Order: sequence, then structure tokens, then C-alpha cells
Amino acid sequence: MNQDLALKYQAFVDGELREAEARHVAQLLETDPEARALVAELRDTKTLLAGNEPQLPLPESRDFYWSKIQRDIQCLEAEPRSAGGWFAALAGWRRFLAPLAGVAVITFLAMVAVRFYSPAPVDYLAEIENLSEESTAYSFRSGNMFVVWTQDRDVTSDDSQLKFIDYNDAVAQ
Amino acid sequence: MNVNLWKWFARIFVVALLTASSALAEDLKIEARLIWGTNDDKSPDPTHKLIDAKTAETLRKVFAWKNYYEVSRTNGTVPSRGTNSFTVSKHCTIEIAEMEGPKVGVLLIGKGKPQNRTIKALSRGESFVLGGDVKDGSAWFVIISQLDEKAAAAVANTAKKEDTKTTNPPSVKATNTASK
Repeated sequence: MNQDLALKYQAFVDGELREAEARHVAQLLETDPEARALVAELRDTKTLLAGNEPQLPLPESRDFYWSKIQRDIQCLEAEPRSAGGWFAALAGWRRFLAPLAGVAVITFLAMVAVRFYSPAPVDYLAEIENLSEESTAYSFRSGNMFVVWTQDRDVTSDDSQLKFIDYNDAVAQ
Repeated sequence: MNVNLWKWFARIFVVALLTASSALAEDLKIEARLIWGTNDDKSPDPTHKLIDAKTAETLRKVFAWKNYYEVSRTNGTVPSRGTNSFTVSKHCTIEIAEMEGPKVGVLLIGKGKPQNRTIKALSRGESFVLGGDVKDGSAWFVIISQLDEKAAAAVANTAKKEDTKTTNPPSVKATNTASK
């Protein structure tokens, strides 16, 4: 007996064949004793399994049991999602924080450079604009003192008691 | 890097630049002292006091006058990118402007007429001195200094104490001899 024919007998026992096919198999069984023996064995096995299948009663009701499983699944799904969301948000901000930190450092260094490392000679430069025809103005520096001297035109230089100091000495101080 | 990120970068950079520029522009706390230089042993006004020895020595290094008396002392704040006037005597006013750089513009006004304008950087520890001869052989000086926070607070406290001590404070404003 080949395997296809054996499977057909199995389907016959289980009632899975069409009516015409089932009639044909029944005719075969009448003429083939080997087939009859196989079908009888299959029916016995089926009867044994149906009568001795173990019954495992649940401690809770069916609905409660499945609702517990559903809740467990929901908890397992919720935890990784919340953690992933927080990390994802942080990672998203990181791409903005990196250039922001760079700009902050550059700005800080620029402010420090402007405040503390501005070249000293700039302090020595001054623009003086004389706005009166009655007086004249000139400037000089001595140490940490910058002087703008205003002199009336009718006061001669001989009258002035201003000491002119050597410019190089003044700068060197 | 995508376009949106570059836009964000540019915006942050502009904001940082504006913040930095506004941080560099600051109000200036200024003290202007009117000093009278003379060879006389006494000031024409008995209320005038001799200036501190250190300032007097600094002035003597450059100028020939023997004694220096403080006529008036004026404190004020020059707002960032703004102007403030300091009336140091009846006829002498100084107008100080805080400018980009940072620099200050100092306009000397004598008897209501602008005399000269100086633009320069003013740094702490440096004195900006305006001065001039007077026909009687004396001289006037206006020493302009930038005060730091501590000095400004000390000046304010001193002024408060003087106000509370004297109900009718004597005028220490400049006499007309101190002006040009």
C-alpha cells in the first residue's frame, strides 16, 4: 500500500472525503483486506485518543486568564516604548546641542579676546576736533594720563607754564 | 548636515553675535573732577581742598603748578551708546558719549560754546585730563575717570553719608574762576 492510499484511508476515517470519493474508498475496503485492517487500526487509535485526552482545568476563569496575559503583553510593550522615546528625544536634541555648544565656546573666546587682549596702541589713538576759533587744542600722554590741553589764542606760549615732556619718555612710562 | 540644521546653526550664531555685542556695550560710571592749579599757597576759594598726594604728584610730573585744589567732583553714568552731561562748574560742562569701539566722545563746552571734541578709548585705570591756561597764571583741569563697580558704590555711599550729616551743605560747586 502506498502512502497516498494510506492517507486517503486516514481521511476516510476522519470523514474528510467527498461523498463520491468516500463511496469509492468503501468499495476498495470491501475487496482489500489489508486496507480494512488499516482502517480498523486508525479507528481504534482515534477512539483511544478521543477518550483519553487529558483535561487541564484553569485556576481562574477563561476571561480572567486571558485578560492577565493581555495586561502582561501591554506592560512589556509600554516599557521599551517609553525608554526608547526618551533616548530618542535626547539623541534628537544632541545634534542641536553640539553646534550650540560650539557657538557658545567661540562667543566666549571672542569676548575674552576683545576684552583682555585688545592691542594697547589703540588706547593711544585719539581724534581731537577743535570747535572754537578762540582756542586751540592739542594732546599728549604721560603714563596713564591722557591730556587734552586747551589754550586761548591770546595766551602766548611764553605765558603758559605747561611743561612739555619728551614724548618717548611719556610713552615709555 | 541637512538644510534645516544649517538654518538653526545660522540663527544661533546670529543670536550669539548679538548677545556678545550687547555684552560689550556697557554703561560707563564716570567721575569728573575739576581741579584748580596754582602757585599760590591758598586757593581763591577757602572751601577748596588740596587734592590727594598721588594725583598731585602725577600732575606735577607734567605741569609746573605747585598746588592743586579740588573745586568740584561730579559722578554720573553714561548709558551704553548714549550721552550724559557733567556740569563741573558754572561755565564748564562736559558732554560724554559712549560710542562703538568701545570709545568715548568728550565734548568740552566753555561758557556755553563748544571748544573741542575728543574721541578715544577710555579704559579703567587711565585718566583723561582736559586742561587749560588762565590769564592770571593759574590753570584748570578736569580729570575724567571711569569708576569700577566698587569705586562707584563707595562714591555713592560717601555721597549718602554727606547728605545725612549736613542739613545745609556748603556749595562746593566751581566758582567762575575755575572756568575758562
